[in-house]
Amino acid sequence: MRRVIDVMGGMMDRHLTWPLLIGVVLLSSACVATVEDYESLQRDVRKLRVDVNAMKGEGFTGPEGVEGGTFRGTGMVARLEELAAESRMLQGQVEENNYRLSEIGLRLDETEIKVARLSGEPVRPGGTSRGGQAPTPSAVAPPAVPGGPTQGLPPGGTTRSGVPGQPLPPSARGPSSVQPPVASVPPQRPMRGAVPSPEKVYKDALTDYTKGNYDLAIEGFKNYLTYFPKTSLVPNAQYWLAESYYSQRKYPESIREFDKLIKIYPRSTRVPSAMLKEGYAYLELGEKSLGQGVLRELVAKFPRSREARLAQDTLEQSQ
Amino acid sequence: MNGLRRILPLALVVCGGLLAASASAQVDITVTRKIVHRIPIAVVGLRPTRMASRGPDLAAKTQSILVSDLEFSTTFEVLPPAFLPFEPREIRLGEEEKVLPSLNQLQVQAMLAVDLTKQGKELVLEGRVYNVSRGTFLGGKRYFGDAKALRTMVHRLADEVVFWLTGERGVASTRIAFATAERRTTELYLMDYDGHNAVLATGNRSINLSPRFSPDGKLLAYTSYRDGNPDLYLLNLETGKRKKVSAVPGLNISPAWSPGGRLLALSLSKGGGTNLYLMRPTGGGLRRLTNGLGISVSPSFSPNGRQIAFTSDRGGSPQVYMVEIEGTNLRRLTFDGGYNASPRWSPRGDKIAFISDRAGGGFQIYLMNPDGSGVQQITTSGSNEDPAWSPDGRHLVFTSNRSGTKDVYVMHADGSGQKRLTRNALNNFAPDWSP
Repeated sequence: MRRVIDVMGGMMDRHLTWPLLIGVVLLSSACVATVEDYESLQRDVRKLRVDVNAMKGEGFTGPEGVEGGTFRGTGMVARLEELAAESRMLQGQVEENNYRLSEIGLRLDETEIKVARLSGEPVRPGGTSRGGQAPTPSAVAPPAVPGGPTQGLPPGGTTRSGVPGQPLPPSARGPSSVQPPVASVPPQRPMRGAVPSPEKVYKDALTDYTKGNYDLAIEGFKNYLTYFPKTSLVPNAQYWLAESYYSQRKYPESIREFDKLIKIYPRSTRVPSAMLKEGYAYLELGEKSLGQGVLRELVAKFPRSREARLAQDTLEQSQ
Repeated sequence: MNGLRRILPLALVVCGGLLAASASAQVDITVTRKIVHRIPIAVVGLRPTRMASRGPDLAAKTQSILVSDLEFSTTFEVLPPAFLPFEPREIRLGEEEKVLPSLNQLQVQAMLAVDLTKQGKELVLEGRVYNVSRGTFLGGKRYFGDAKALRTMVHRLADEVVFWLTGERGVASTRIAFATAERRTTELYLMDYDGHNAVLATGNRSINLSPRFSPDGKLLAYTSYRDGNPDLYLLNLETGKRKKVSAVPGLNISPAWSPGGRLLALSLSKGGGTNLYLMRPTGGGLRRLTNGLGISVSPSFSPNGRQIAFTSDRGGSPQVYMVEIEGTNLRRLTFDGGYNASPRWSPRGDKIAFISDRAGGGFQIYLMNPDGSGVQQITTSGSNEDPAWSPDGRHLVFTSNRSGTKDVYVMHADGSGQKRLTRNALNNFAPDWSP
């Protein structure tokens, strides 16, 4: 980064030498001119120097204006630079505030589980007691795990993907790397003891996703959504579940899961990305009108997002 | 190296006593764990061998390289000769099975019998691996080469031993690319993973930066000022041919290969700001990933090739961000410290290495989970930058100024075993580890 800035600094210097060079040329030509001309030129050179110094002081970095041979608009450019820097600072503050909020959410999740354990209350599938922010479990969690959300978790047992140790349907099992499920547990048995934290289940699934172990990731995120449907990472888990299908080019499944995120968590920061990918997925399936519809909706709902710009590009190309 | 021949079928045997798991994906080693189970291994054989009567003992050199390779792998604990009830170097190849019972009594788990002999002007290196507790032969290999190729031969044998006993590829045969600054030039060099055999890769008397090996190890992407502008080049390491692949006016810097090698991410200063782009390594297919007037550099792909971690000052200070290859879901990963940069995604997928000034007094190397959580500092001495992973995700190469000059160092992924590789009194930096 510092190197980049050094290089850019070098470019800036090169641009700034132009007015000085022009000044020198003008000075040399003044030798054959009148005294008035000479004094006038001196004034011009002084003015140029003042402008150049002003630009240096204002952090002017762009070649605009200088290459055009005029300094009109210099103040405006500097002001724009200033505004851009301020905008970046504000952007940074927003990012940091969002981060602090998400951290608080995570800590609340963990605390509530600890409190439940300390008070001897069974921790039932369905996650923590904090509600209100998420819809009903059945609306969020795909019914992929036998036993459904009413079945208890075995103590401590987790598969490789950090999934609470429930027997999984053959279709949902990953490659041979998934350890066999632990011995069957009587239904309705509450979860006690070494229960994997929602954060661990989520992170293991996310690591499987980044490694490209998509079947395991899908299994992990589905179980996260089933067992911890009221925790703060649910919208993210929903996004990564859809994205895992998308990465596998399983477009119908990815559309279904992106759609859940968009409809159930419309305020999630990942909604614009989900809409864009849902649109892309429809286009991949040859559903041009459906895909364009989703992309247009994205542009209308989030006109200032990066995703809207990408959607706009795609719409223009597919016209 | 010519004449490499396999004389015995590769016999990969999963030994319950030796291995936590087989070569399958069941192995899930947490690379940052402090306590690592190492396999006790005895190295026997290697009676003195000289090319000339007064020449150096090449068998002793072989022993030294081999032990260093096996220890660095973090898989083995090589037993010191004094620990053994016999003189290990006296064991001849063919007689090594006799010592298996005595090694078993000492609870040694593996034995490597090695022999180095002279055949005319060539050296023959042979290694055989045994599971001591079962008394079974796991595999063997024989290598031919001249004295100059000895280090390469030994590195290859070490990697085979790692493979026979763990099912994972070792890194002893890998190489490290790095930049060396001397007066007005900065040239790129390649060296063995242990710092030996450094050779010049560029040699254009210009400034050359950011070397990055392609996933197949055949190409080296880098930025060079050889034609005045910082353009992006690919150097074919087999033919030595160079190709300019990106030369837009301004910056063409910080390349990164996608895991399959089908895409290159890079930073271009185009249309205001310095932004991330994707392109095909053959040139063309340019696609913009980030926008704005800020600076976005140092991309690194996730192992599944779907996401890119990078450094950007879009939030006012340099921080690590993540974006998907479609340009979607851009998010910030680092929030502590005013300067977080140079992210590199572990080939295992579970960690991202990066540098930060959060500890004060220069930069240190840290690891974090791909969602930005679980940050841990792994260097403390001097200022440390430019982390890059070994292909097995067990080690990192990096730059440190702790000795007074910038030099290339390696360490294990938990920060232990830090070792200096470059000692040329110049500034050596920006390393990258070959596949």
